Amino acid sequence: MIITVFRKEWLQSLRLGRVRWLLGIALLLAFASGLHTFSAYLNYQNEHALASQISRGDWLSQEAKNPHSAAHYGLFVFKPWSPGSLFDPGLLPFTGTTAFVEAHVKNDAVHAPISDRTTLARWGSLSPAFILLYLVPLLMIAIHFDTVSGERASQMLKWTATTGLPFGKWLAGKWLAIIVLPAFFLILCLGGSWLAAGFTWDHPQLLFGLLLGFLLFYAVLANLILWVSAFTKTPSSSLLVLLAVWILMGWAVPKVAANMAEIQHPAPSLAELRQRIDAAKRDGLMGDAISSERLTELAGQILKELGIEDTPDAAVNRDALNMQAGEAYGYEIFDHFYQEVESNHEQQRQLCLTSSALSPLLPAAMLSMAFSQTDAHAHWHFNRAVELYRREFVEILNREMMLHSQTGDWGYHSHPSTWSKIPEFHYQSQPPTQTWQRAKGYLFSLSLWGLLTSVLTFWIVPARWGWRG
Amino acid sequence: MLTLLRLEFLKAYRQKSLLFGTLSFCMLLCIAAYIQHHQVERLRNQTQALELAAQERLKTSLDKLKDVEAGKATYPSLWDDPRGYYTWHEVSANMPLPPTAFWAMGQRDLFENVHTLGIFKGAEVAGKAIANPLPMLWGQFDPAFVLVYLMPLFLIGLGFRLIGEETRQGTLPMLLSQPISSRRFFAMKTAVWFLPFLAATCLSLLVCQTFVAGMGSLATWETTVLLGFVALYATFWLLTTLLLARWCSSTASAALGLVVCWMVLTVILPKTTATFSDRIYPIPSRLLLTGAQREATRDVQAEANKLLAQYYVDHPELADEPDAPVEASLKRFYDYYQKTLTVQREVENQVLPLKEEFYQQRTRQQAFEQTLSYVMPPVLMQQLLNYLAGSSSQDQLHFARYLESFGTQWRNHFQRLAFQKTLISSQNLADLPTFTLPEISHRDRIGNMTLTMAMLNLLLLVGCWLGFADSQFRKDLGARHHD
Repeated sequence: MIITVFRKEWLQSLRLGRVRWLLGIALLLAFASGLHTFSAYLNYQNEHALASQISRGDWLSQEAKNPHSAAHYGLFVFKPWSPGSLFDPGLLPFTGTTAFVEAHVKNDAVHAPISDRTTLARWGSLSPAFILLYLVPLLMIAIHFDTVSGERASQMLKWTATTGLPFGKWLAGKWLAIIVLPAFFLILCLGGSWLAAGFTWDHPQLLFGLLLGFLLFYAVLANLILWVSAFTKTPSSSLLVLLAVWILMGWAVPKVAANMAEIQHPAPSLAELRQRIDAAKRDGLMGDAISSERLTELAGQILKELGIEDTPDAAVNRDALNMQAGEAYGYEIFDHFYQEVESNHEQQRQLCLTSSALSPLLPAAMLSMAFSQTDAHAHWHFNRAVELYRREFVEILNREMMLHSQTGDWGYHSHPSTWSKIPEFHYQSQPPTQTWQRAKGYLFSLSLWGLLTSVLTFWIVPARWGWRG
Repeated sequence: MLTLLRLEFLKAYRQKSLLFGTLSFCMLLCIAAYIQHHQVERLRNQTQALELAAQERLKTSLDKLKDVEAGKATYPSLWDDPRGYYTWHEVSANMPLPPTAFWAMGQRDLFENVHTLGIFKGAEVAGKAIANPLPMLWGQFDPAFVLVYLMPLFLIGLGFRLIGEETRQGTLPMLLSQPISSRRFFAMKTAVWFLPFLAATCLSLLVCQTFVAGMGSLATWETTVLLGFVALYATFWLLTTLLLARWCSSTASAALGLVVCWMVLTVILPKTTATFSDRIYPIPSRLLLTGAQREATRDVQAEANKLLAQYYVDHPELADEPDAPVEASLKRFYDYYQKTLTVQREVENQVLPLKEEFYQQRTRQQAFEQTLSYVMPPVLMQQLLNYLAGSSSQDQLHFARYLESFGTQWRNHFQRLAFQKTLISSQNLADLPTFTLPEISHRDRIGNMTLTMAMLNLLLLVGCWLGFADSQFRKDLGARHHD
């Protein structure tokens, strides 16, 4: 019975010229978006490989020099794009791609692609996630807004009631007819992105997460469409209400939520952060200026790790040892301040998540970015990986100076073969379990939406209206 | 005619949708202005705090310098001495925030407002590394968003039933049987709900402007341009609504058609154009640019390392011998800065062609997008607000380029001092270059945009004139009634 209602709904819809046109346009846009993200991804992968090769070659081709000078000369590392970016580029255009690795300073990844673009780029580019989050809901509304109100207006509801069909089954058939189109687009976009990634998207958990999240989102929308269509008297009122809902949930709420999060938890500017870091380096983290005792203690720890006894005639370059001790103190400072920035972003994210009570699109969009590994967390994960690499980089060079030269011997030059001791930077994206951990909140929010709208549609609608119309 | 006008007014008044829609829109506009004003004020305070801290540091250094000059203090090394260059080598430059900055966040959220540049590193506007990127993705709830995106929707919401509703109720043939032409009838009908909406919107804009920028800002050229352009933009959507409502058979299909039209003009077309222009004029990759810059500087750097070997390049203070005679210390000091700054200039020269290519390509892309945006009124409206708020991509580019040239000027000043073998003194401190961003005028662009908008409106007006011609309209109405 449900299938019969479902078939009738689709046959009726496909007879309408506007539905065929809209479907054609949506398919065309989905295809164009897939093509664009694929081409951008390939382009970036090539550039990334070339730039990494140039940077590595540049590092290895240094002449003999003091290791500390080499540490200042530094090297560049570049952020790779996750295969998920083929589906949802998310925050990638807004986050830095290039990080400079050097002694003493933690540099953040800079040169976000958007900062080199013009005003028009703020509209964003087409991507499969955009199609699924914004266009497909509009398509669902455009095709099914009159699913109940239209039947009521044309008196068809009374005719259907005479067939003896249970109201619940009739509603379920309609629900199935609404959900089938987004499910088709979801499989098309996800499958296309997976194929385009050349099977390198090797975490099925992430794909499953996307599938589940989007299906929940579409189920919520299908419920809302059915409920609004049953609640309003005329098809034009249904359309008006649904369009208002779409605009509010898609365009207004995310902006307001993000703005409120910024106002509620203001983030420091880069200049402010640097000022604080400089002050902490100068006066100590808690105003407890780094004393010679603290430096000696850190230096002692380093020597202990190296298995060298801390005696005045130990065979180490004390200048290099002190520099490494200074670096170790710097790590504490950077960790402290960057932890603050990260917590600030987390507080902003939590506020956005709370705002998802006003829009199911908000958790769906955040979930899409999380499972595509293109959200802010993925960027912080990259930044942390770069910092760990920087620490290793500086430590190797300081150790080189420490163990192979004398205190005060600033003219010491390392052989060029030393530079190859620095390993290449290979970034491993965050494990899927971590992503799932974070995405739980979004899934929970979508599930709540699903529960609430299901109650409205499958309990309140039959109880309040039923075949009475 | 007057009777009909009175009836329309009464109808609009009874329906409450006009009053409710207009008031909600004006309220949203004011809320957006308030939120954005708050954001701009926060940015202004941040900038002021940093400026104050920099002034404080400068004052402390100046006091130290005066103490040295008065013989009250001495330093073991020129690297710590305030007469040396290191104390003064950094300077901050900030992007100005005009009083109208609250109209549109534009590109401002992508960049830091305060930049520090010095003689050891090039001046570069590199984005906003530690900011949360999520608000950048979703954009700001600023007046620009309300005007560009929401105003058309409110106009559509108020106007899509204009014809369909009368047809559905069967009152249209009766109304048109009155001695009035269909053009005049619909013009009157439209004026009844459009003019109050427009008047309330303009009033809200003026209230926001007065609240944020003061009464004095009302009589400016910018306010006139803003009101005029908003009126043109609103008229564009009004005429589009009328035309689509005229050709659609029902109110539902008119609403759907209008929302699709809104979606295409405000979202799909700008997105597609941005994608397309990136294909035609791809901006040279920053990744490869970084690599190329590195390659270009490598040889110079290698040479520099040899030249500067005796100064330990990165820590010249460690090369200084505390017990060395003053002349020897001074010689080492000048020698180091002469060589370092010459190397810096050479590196800059090597990189210059790459940067120029980068900027030229960006200018080409901008010109291409500017041309295409003439058929996208929402983009024109956004650009106008960005120009007025000083947050357009042209403003950012202008700032970035000036900052780079100021960086060169700053370094050249120190290089000149090093070659003249002059230390910093309280007398020559006033000669340090100061950062004052020259103003950039958008009047030509704004003029072109206004003209384009007016032309688009004229085209639509002609469409409406033809569409609502008596004979054609009544014929179509008859055919629809027959169906």
